[in-house]
Amino acid sequence: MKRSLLITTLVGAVIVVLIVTGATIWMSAGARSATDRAVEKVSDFYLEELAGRRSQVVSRFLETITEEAERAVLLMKPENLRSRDALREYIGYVKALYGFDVFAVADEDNIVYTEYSTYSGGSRYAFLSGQQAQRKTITTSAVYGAGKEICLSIPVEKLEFMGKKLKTCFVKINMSDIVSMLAFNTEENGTHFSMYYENGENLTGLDFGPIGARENLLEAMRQQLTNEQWQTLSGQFAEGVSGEAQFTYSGRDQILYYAPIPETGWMITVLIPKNLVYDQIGGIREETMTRSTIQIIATCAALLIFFTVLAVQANRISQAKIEAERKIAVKDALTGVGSKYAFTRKVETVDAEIQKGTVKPFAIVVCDLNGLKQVNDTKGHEAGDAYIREACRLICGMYSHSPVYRIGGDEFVIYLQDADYERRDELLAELNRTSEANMADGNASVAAGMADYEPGDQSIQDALGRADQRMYEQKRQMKGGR
Amino acid sequence: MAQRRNGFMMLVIMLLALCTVLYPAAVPAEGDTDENAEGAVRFDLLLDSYEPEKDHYNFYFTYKTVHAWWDAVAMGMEEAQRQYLMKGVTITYDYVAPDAASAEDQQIRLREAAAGDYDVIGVDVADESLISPVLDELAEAGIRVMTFSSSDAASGCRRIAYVGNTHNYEDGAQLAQAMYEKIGGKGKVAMLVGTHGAPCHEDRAKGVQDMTARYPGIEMVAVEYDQDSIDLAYDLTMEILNQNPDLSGLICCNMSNPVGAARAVKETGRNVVIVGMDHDREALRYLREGTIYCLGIQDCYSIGFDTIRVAVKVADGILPGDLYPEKTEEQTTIIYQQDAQQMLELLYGEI
Repeated sequence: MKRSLLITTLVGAVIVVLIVTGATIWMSAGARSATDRAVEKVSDFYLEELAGRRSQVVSRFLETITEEAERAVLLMKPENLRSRDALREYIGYVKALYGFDVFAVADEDNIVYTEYSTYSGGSRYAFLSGQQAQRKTITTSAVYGAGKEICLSIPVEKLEFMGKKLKTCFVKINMSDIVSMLAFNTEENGTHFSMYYENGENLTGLDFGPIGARENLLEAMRQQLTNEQWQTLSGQFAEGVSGEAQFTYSGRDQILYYAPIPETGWMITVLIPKNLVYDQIGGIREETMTRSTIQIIATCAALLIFFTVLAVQANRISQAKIEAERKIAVKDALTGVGSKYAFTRKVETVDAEIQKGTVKPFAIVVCDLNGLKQVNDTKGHEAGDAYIREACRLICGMYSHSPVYRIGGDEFVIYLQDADYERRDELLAELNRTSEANMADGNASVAAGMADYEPGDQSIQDALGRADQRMYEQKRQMKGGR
Repeated sequence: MAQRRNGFMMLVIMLLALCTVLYPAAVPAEGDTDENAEGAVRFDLLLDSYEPEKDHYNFYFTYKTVHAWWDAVAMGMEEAQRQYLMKGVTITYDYVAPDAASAEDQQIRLREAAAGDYDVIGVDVADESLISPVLDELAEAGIRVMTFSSSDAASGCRRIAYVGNTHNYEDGAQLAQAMYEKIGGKGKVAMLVGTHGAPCHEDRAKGVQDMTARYPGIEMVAVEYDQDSIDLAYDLTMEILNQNPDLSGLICCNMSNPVGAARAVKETGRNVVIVGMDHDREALRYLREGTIYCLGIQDCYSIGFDTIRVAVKVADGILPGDLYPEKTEEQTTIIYQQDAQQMLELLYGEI
């Protein structure tokens, strides 16, 4: 019974643990997949945000310069155009006011006027020729010995200087200003920024992660991408469209994101190790997974404890029930003294002691109720039961230190030891006297016979037999005496 | 001290004489020019210790024609102006030219400038025979005049100083020699020159002709002037190629010549060796791909820088002598295909 319960509990526990574990693993796998998708989305958003913000910063910077240059032209007064020196002075004032490195105006003959010089600019500035002079342009050109020169030019209207129409003003932009403004130096987290022309030439003069400042980005990427990917990349560069390319460079997976800077022909580029975002968010994912694992272990442990407690409790209940049943079995329900079963167990115990030679001296008293049948027959069984209980009280009162057993309907056995054994004769005599007196009074009485354990007895039954015989002798005497 | 300086000057003179005697043999061999190419243009120039007398100078410069070559000179001028400004000296200047080379236009410009408030007037002489008298006229009027760039005035002109290429003749001879060695000393060649009368172009052409005379196997079949026009250089080259199916080489004496010549040669697919002058970006690309065999690179940046540096001294009334020479010589470096990329990067940041 107990073993069956334990096995059932354990099997149940294992099944429940397996179900819980399986469900949790399945959910974790789902969560991991969902996290990966989320990470990819976040990664895309992160890159778009990085590039987009910087693109906006550059656009705003250029817009500001445009507005300042337009304002400078708008505020130009006739006295500023009265002479070359007056114009130079005004140009110097504008430079200082807006912090321009170079501010200049050009006339219809492509003569350029700066703070310190007047020079022919037709071959130097492509934006002075043709239609370009009639609209806002940002020109990046390679200049002899000066690297790349960036000019933002805007058309000028209705102004004349020395009899010639002024057609354009322009500001030279220092790329290092833009570079410092964009905070490109974020290499500590592995993110790199740069700007490139649409043809892949580096605009900033800075290394772009593993791609050197002198390398053409598109050419460098040709080695890293499939032909199809490269065609997409170069096509998007040429069209000024944002996009991304994933590739492996020096054994590391990288993501290249690029976005156009409006009205410039430039592309802002971001390069991050592919695992950067994954690492960042992956930490959260690992934490979640760790929590899930802990949850699984805790759940399993709780279930095991629960089932163990359940098993122990079931065992205890079972034990208690057995004990209760055992108590019921050893106790006579009517009188509360030991039952026949209890006496059987006592016989086994004493016989075992006899066999071992360790038994202490004892005596057996056998009592048989007088007149019970008559009571039952004449007064009913309830009266008979009351009679039995009264007789039992008589016996128990006499042998208050010895176990009393009801081994039959009207038969009791008392096992005498120690003090009652020492006074066994006296007690028996007293019992007999009381019984006789009771019988005379119509109360419950018993006939009793006693026998000592004697050397040579193989079993308690030997003493019991002798006591039983003496009880019958006593019963005959009492009947005879009546 | 003076004795040591004299000794040093003697040594310099002896070395220069030795170089003059040996210069034909000193043409750099192809492949020996990496170091030369690196130093062909110097961008690390600094002003000398001379302290200008005034805190503001105003100059006028005019040159042959609006062209990228003179834009490179302008870069050097701007750097010198910037450095003077750092020293508290303001330099203002005009640096203008016509859209097409014209000695007559230059004469007008010089005379108009003479009426202005310029401390010094400088000119890159378009035609020495027409401009030198005007310069003398200005000098006679007390105006300080100088020449710069690649073309000096005629000998005896009263201009105060010259800054620029002093060895156009040698440049032409070197280019011719490089080509003749390349084609094995025999074959038909043609020459493109720039503007009639432009000293630098004419001197180079003369250097070419004199070198040609040393190679009996070389036949000069055509000499044409492109008027500093790339398109004209292209047309002339096409004509020469058509008329001379067995042409072995083209010698180009200015900046536009080699660009037009290379376009035509590449277009026709002819195997013609081209040598030429200057640092035009397109020409450098042709050099990189092998269409042009070699180019003579003048240090325009230094020409511009030194022109301002000398002009300040001229304006202060200092004559050539200890502080600056009458002719400030600027170098020319012959570069070959293997130097082209380096030069493109150096001059144009082209990768």
